[in-house]
Amino acid sequence: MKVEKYNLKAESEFTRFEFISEGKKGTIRKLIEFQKTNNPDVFNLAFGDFNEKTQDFDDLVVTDNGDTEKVLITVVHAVFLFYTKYPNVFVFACGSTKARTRLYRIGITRYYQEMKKDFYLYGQIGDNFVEFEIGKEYEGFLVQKKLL
Amino acid sequence: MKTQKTISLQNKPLVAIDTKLDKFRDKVIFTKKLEKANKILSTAKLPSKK
Repeated sequence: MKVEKYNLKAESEFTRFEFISEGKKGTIRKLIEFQKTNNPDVFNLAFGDFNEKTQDFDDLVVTDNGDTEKVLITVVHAVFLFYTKYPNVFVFACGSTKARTRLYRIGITRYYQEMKKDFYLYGQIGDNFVEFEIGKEYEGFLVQKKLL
Repeated sequence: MKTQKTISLQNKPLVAIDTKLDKFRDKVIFTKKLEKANKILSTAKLPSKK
């Protein structure tokens, strides 16, 4: 099945990706950032919109541009691309709000069958990471690339 | 239930490398997200790498 997605622009090291969302509210610049954390084995995935009013990126805004699915699959592909450069790290993702964390869970659930071929997926419950299961709520998510 | 979809590997998005973005590489934009992640990761038990 073909899933439509946005083309990405990246810096050379694939830690930062940008794309333009096109929807009912017009075009919105989006940024995906893979951040180095205090743990050298873990990068944090952060994601947000460029706010024209503040001229800054905002990870709290609810865009409602009518292209959620296309945006989600684009973020998933940014993760694939990131792992081409950093195959041995974990990627952690946690929404800035409960609603956004839920959105991440929806995204993982929708593409779970495909993602699990290439990734180990974990859900965060308190201080523990457990194997991701569809239908369960988590506070955050952790991904590890399966090495061939 | 609309839950799972497959991704066509032939349909990966194009990625264009823009070296103009390289100057921002070490600049963290979403600082609060990073703080939150570091706080969680400071106590969380990571799974062992497979």
